[in-house]
Amino acid sequence: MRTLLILLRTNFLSLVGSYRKKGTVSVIAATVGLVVLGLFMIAMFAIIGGSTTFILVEKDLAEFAIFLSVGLSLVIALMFGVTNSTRDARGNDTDMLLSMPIPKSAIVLSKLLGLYLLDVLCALVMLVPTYLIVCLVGGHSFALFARGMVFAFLLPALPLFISLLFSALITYLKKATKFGQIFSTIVSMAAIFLYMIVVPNISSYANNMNISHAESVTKMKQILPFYWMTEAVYSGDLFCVAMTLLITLIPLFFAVYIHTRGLNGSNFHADNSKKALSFKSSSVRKASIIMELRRYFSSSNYVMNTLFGTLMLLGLVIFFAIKGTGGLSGHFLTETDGETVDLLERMLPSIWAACGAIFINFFACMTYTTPSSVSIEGKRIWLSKTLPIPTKVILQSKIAVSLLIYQPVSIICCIIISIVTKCGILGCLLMIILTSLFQLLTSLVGLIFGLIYARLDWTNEAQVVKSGFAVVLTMVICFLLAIPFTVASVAGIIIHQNTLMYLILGGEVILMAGLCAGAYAIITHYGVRKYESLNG
Amino acid sequence: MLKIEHLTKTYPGGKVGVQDLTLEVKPGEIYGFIGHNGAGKTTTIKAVVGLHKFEQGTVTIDGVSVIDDPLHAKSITAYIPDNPELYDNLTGMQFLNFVADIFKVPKSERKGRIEKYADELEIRSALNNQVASYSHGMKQKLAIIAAFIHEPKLLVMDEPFVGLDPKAAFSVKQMMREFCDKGNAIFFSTHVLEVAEKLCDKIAIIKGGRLIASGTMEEVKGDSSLEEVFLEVTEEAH
Repeated sequence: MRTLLILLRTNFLSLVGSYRKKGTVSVIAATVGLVVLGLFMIAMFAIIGGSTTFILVEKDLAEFAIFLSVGLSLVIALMFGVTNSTRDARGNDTDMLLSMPIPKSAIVLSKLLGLYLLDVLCALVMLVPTYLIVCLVGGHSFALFARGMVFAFLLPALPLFISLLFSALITYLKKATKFGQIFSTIVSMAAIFLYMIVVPNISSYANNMNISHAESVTKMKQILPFYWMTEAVYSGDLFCVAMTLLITLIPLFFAVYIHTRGLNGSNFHADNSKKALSFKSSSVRKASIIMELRRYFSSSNYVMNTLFGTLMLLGLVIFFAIKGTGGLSGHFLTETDGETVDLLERMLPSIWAACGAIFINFFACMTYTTPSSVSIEGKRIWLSKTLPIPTKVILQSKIAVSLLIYQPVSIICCIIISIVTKCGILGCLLMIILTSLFQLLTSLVGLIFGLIYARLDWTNEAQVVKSGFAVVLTMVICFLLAIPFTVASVAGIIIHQNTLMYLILGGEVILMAGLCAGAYAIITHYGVRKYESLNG
Repeated sequence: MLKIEHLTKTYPGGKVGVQDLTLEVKPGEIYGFIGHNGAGKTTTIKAVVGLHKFEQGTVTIDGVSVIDDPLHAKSITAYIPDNPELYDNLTGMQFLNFVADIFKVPKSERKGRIEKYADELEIRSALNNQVASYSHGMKQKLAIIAAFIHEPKLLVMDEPFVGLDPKAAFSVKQMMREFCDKGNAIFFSTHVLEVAEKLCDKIAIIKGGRLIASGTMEEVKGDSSLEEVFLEVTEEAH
């Protein structure tokens, strides 16, 4: 226990120390960004959990409301846990820690604490509104609230256990086969898809539910672990409390044990001594881009964090192409002068182009590599700084990689959407230009934040790829940047005039090009100076 | 070849790294740079190769200022750090090709050079393996090959022998001598005084960021051993 506390304190001091170096203004700006994003997430989860509970409590299904909220918080925790489990548990400090008289379990636990706290936070955000509504609206005692709060700290152990099992399996597959990387990508995507299917649909599921209390109990009993957890909170039934403790704590200890066994000082390395050497040559610019691409594809964290949006966009657009515009009919109904109107019937080519651009830009907001591209260099930054490569070329290659990953897919999607919606050549061109410019803008903004919040002293690349200030801030800013363009497009839809809509889109192109030029100027002046001042 | 004049580097926070340091490395010379831990050796080296900015003084490589024309200066210099952090996920060969591309080494020449140095340092069979699988010494060897691959005029090395096996250390010393015999120059730091004594044409001793002795080996040590002189002058400067 003492060792674990020492490790936690050291991790904390290291984290604080890394932020202290950045200066007060940068830290305040990043903190504000994180708080905004945090509040958004909290509000989103709380609204989903709260509204679902309210609907069910009104139907006298309070117990089932808790069951759904518990399930929802577990799905969210599982999504975070599984996507995190794809990362390598070994950090740069692992060998050093293993050489010290520290129990392996303490090392594993110290590394898991961050994930556990995130899961607890998600559970609390989801469950507290549920408990409050059940107690205040449903008239239940506050003993239920107290029990619920205690179990909120315990429930994340189950998804954490599943995540650790996946992590152990992925580590094994990476060592023993060539398919570890593919498997880890599939598992992460499956977890995110599960989250995306379950979370947004839970309220409508509750709304459409017309069952008696007895039927809801039968339904709950179909998933026994969730039922035990629900009853432990709802009625405090001793058997269910015992079972909840069993299904959370024992597997967690077991998973930590497996993880601990897997943590050792040796790595798997293939022997390629008999392979012929290749002496390919390239230009300086091409070599820089190839290096950036290699760095990108060699990091599962990096790929996972960015390629997901691209693949999801492609998948959805292909789905749209198969279904056609008819597949959307009935989903966009509105009341006008007492009549129900399907908005799809009012769609003009220019409006389709605007909607296509908004749709593709949404995915662009989660598909950029630039925010972590500087930090990922870590202590190897000495290389690019001592080689005769102009700093501008280094930064341009980072932007190029970000564009190369998303742009081709984005253009293909624009063409598919144009064909399916019959928005014409002009609409297609505008869509391509708008999405290309937006992707360039997100990459440029990401690089600016990547330079401001460069963190070269990381011990595990996930620290900069997944949870770096730059990554989070870029996402927030890009969503904010997308809002005016979306508002302008929506205004055009309301005005409902093809020519005017094209003019609005043209205006957006000019504005976005101006923003890109401004951001590029910042990079070539401030960015170059900033990069040259970085030391690993 | 390398001219450092009145170099002063102060770190943010006020710590003085190097103060008013002046020295010159002429073509054909192996110039050793010795001093205690924290004396300012690595700071000086990092200023020379463009990793550290400095507020006073000038550093020129073959007449090219590292401040005014950094790209030109870097294109005629090679640097080997004390702890070469390389791209772990690349193979050794991919890394060497990258460096050769940046220095615009033609394909025909790079093949001959890579094979020659890789054979000398006995690392050829590992070049297709990932750098992550390399030991510290192997990474050091890879960094050395990368440094020699473009035939620089000046080679800057920070503790180049750390981690090398005796045979590789011997090969590197030979490579260093051959390199300087062609009219190039080497500026390197070391803690191994025996190596410095045998290998260097000139030597400089630094303490607390200031140069306290410099010159040819004979001028600095006379009839004594370098170890005795080093201990004496660093004690005196204290």
